[in-house]
Order: sequence, then structure tokens, then C-alpha cells
Amino acid sequence: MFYQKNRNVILPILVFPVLILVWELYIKIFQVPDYLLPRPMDLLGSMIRLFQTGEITKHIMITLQEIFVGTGVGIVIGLVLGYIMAKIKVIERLVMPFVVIVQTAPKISLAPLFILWMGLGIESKAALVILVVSFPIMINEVTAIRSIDDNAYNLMKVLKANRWQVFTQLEVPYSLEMLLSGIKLALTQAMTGAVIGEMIGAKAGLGYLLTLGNETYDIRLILNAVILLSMIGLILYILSGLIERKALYWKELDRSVIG
Amino acid sequence: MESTKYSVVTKNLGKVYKNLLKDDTVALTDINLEIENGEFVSIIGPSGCGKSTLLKIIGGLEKPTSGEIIYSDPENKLGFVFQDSVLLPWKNVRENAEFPLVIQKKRSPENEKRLDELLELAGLTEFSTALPRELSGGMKQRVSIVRALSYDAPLLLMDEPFGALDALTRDHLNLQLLKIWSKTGKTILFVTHSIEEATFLSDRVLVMATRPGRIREIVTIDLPRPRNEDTRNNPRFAELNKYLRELIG
Ligand SMILES: Nc1ncnc2c1ncn2[C@@H]1O[C@H](COP(=O)(O)OP(=O)(O)OP(=O)(O)O)[C@@H](O)[C@H]1O
Ligand SMILES: [Mg+2]
Repeated sequence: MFYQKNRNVILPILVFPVLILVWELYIKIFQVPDYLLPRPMDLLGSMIRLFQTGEITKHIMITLQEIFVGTGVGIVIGLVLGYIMAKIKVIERLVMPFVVIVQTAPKISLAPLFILWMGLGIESKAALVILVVSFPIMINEVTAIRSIDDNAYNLMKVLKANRWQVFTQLEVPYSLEMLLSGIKLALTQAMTGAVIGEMIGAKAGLGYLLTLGNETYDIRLILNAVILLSMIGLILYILSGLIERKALYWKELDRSVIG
Repeated sequence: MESTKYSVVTKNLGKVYKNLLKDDTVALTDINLEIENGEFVSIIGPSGCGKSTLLKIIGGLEKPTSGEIIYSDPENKLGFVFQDSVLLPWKNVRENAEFPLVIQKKRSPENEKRLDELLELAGLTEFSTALPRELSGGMKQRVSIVRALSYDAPLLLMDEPFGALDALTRDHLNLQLLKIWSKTGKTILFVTHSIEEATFLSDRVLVMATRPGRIREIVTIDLPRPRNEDTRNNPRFAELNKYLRELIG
């Protein structure tokens, strides 16, 4: 049945108008002033105006750029480091303690440092995202390579496979699963990294708009930035879920659980 | 050297594992073997006596500490079947069986044809597009055997391939293995924990003893071939089992 199949989409859509209504009523009943919470239609109007002037697209693009560049580079760095650590025990013994220490510290706390070093442009934010992303990817990659069955390697040896074949035919596919769950996690953290970086020091981006809105008491700007950020987050989440499902067709995915 | 008669010959093979905290483990000493071409030889013995170690050394997965191995096949091509089937979960049955041909870049029409015949022989044809997670343990192991045979290596090494299966499936696969063996004429070295299985399948049974791992005796199984359900009712079958059981102690 149509409802059964699309329940996950239909239910939230039904809840949405109720939410809007409650919002509207809340403002009416409690006489909430406009500068604390605008009416839903007001907010929608201001959002449309933001897009009409075209100003907002610049900020969206900058934040997206930071997320994607940072995530891309972070994945590559995390992968390479993770693979090296998984393969060379000595390096793991040397590096892992530091990794654990840095891992437990909130990496976001390095944001002011990065901004001092690299300035207000997108470099400092991309660097922060790289830092945030590469850690989970690296750790997942180490775990993934470690969890490959010894006999799978023995099989490759019996078949006289060369290093490259072991890598592409065995290690890459086996680590894909772990990697994808790492990327999913990384993408959400990447957004946090970019936004917090922007809030601390930037000339553009959605995080910058949050700070700007705060300083100018522009509640509409703040709310619009929040909405856009959640939309970006949602799209990223759905996108990574799709990629995961395509790449891991051979696994039974538990679709009922989110995350 | 009669390189045509023997598939594998080992001379004074020994293996010592160095341990960091305790004394070294002497896994194998003085293993002298002459496995003939086309022979079916089983290896039994108590746990830890070095059966897997011996198979891995012959399979080139581990280096012996002493002694040497001579193979009749100059490339020493061989197939290995592990206790767990080690199928690649993202490949279907046929792709898994074909994997060695892909790795060794031998996907010729005749090899593909032989692969299909092997799949047929193992009763897997109708499952060729199934993924490993859809298969039973017995089916997985059959895929693993076909994979080991796909590149036509003359020697097949099997380490407790049916150890994790129930008795009925195991008996069934034993018959199927003998069928495949007689059709393909491979030399098979077969490690097992089951005395009955060893007797049922083999030309000779290699009985090993532990600490240090060594050969206790090599018992010739003079049961007639071809073997089938009736073989198990042969009084000689029971006699041999009893003898082997006493040997292991
Ligand atoms: N990589 C290793 N490092 C150290 N010792 C090892 C190693 N592999 C095996 N051994 C030791 O060598 C001995 C023989 O092991 P092996 O696995 O060959 O026995 P097995 O006969 O196959 O036993 P099972 O019937 O339980 O499979 C054992 O004492 C084992 O602890
Ligand atoms: Mg063993």
C-alpha cells in the first residue's frame, strides 16, 4: 500500500501543518513580540527575500565548499593514515596513543587557533573540517583492515595475488562498509566544524550569518540560517544513506534504525 | 627423482614457533611424506598436533624451520579449502568460484566452461547468482571447493572443510567430494577430526601424534572403490575405524 511504503515521509508531512498552527497560535495567545519569534508567514517571506536578492546563495556556497573540500581531503588523509597504521604495527604503537589523546579532546576547540593561523577565509574552516573528518575515518579504516579474516589473506597468497590485487580486491571492498559508516558520521561532524569555525571568525557562510544575526538582533536571519543548515544536514544524511545502500547491496541493511 | 610419480614429497620437515613469553613450540618434527599423484590422503590426530601447520607449510602459507618440500608441479599450483569457506560476501556464487581466474588473469573460454562444469558437478548451477549470505554452510563449502578447483591446480589441500557441518550434510558432501575427485583426478590432502570421514574418503590415513607434532603411522585404507553408502556397512570399515581410534588413543 502507498501509505505503508511511504509512512516515513507521510507522517512528518502531516505533522508539519500542525506545528505551524501551534506556532501561530502560541504567538497570538502569549503576545510574543516580533523580535523574539516572527510569525511563520513572516519568516517564510524573509527567506524568500533572502533568495531573491541572491545574497544568501553566496553564504550557502561557502559553507558547502568548506564541508565538501574538508570532507574530501579529510577522507583521503584519514584513509591513507588508517591504512598505514593498520599495516605497520610499529607506526600504530607509536602514533595511536597520541591519536587517542587528541581524539578525546574536542577538536572544535582548535578553531580559534586555526583562524589565527590561516585567517578568516575558507582555508581555516576547511582545515578544521579536515581535522574533524580524518579522525573517525582513520580509526574506522584501522578497524576495518584489522577485521579482515586471516584466511582471506591466505586465500590471496595461495592464488599468488600481488599487493595491488590484495588491496583492490580484498581490502577496499571489505573496508567499504566501515568506511561508509565513518563517512556518514564524518559528514555531520564536518558541518558542525564548518559552522562553528564560521561563528568564531569568518567573512561569509551560514555560521557567519548566525553570528551576524545575533549581533544585530535579527531573529529572522538566525532562524533562516538554522533552517538552511538543517536542510543541508538532512540532504547530506539522505545522500550518504543512498550511497551506502548502493555500495553495500550485499548486506542486509537494517533500515528501521536511523544513524 | 621420479617427479612424475609423486605430487608432493617432504623431507625432514620441521616447524618451531618462537614464543615471546614461554618456551618455543615445536609444532612439527621430522615429517617425511610421499604423496602420490591422484592420491587421497587424510591427516588425523589430536588437537594441536600440527595438522594445520603441516597443511599451511605444504600450501606455502608458512615457511618450514627445517627440511624441504618437492612438488611435481613446477609452478606448485595448488588449491586450498579452509574450514570457514572465506567467500567474498559481495560476490555471488559464480563470481566467487571464478575469483582465482580473475586474479590470475586466466578467464579463457575453456576455463569458463570448466568452471561451469564444476559448478554443475557440485550441484550449484541453479544458485550461481545467489550471494553467500543466502547459502547454507554446506553450499558455501561447495563453492569454496569449486573455487579451489577452478584454476586446475593438480593438488588440493583441505583443512577440516566439513568440520562445522552437521553429520548428514557432511556424509552427503563426502560422496560429492569423491565424485569430484574421481572426475578431476586431483591429489587431495585432507585434514579432519573425524576418523570415519578419514576412513571413508582416503587411500591412506596419516595419523599424527602431539608434542612434538610428528607422524605416528600411515595406515593404508584397503576398502574397495568406488565408495558409497554400502562402504559404511563393510565390516572392514569398522575394523579400520577401531584401529585408527586406538592409534590416536
Ligand atoms: N602462529 C603461531 N604462533 C605460535 N604457535 C603456533 C602458531 N600456530 C600454531 N601454533 C602452535 O603449533 C601447534 C600446532 O598447531 P596447529 O594449528 O597446526 O594444530 P592442529 O593440529 O591443526 O590443531 P586443531 O586440530 O585444533 O586444528 C599448537 O601447539 C599451536 O599452539
Ligand atoms: Mg587445525
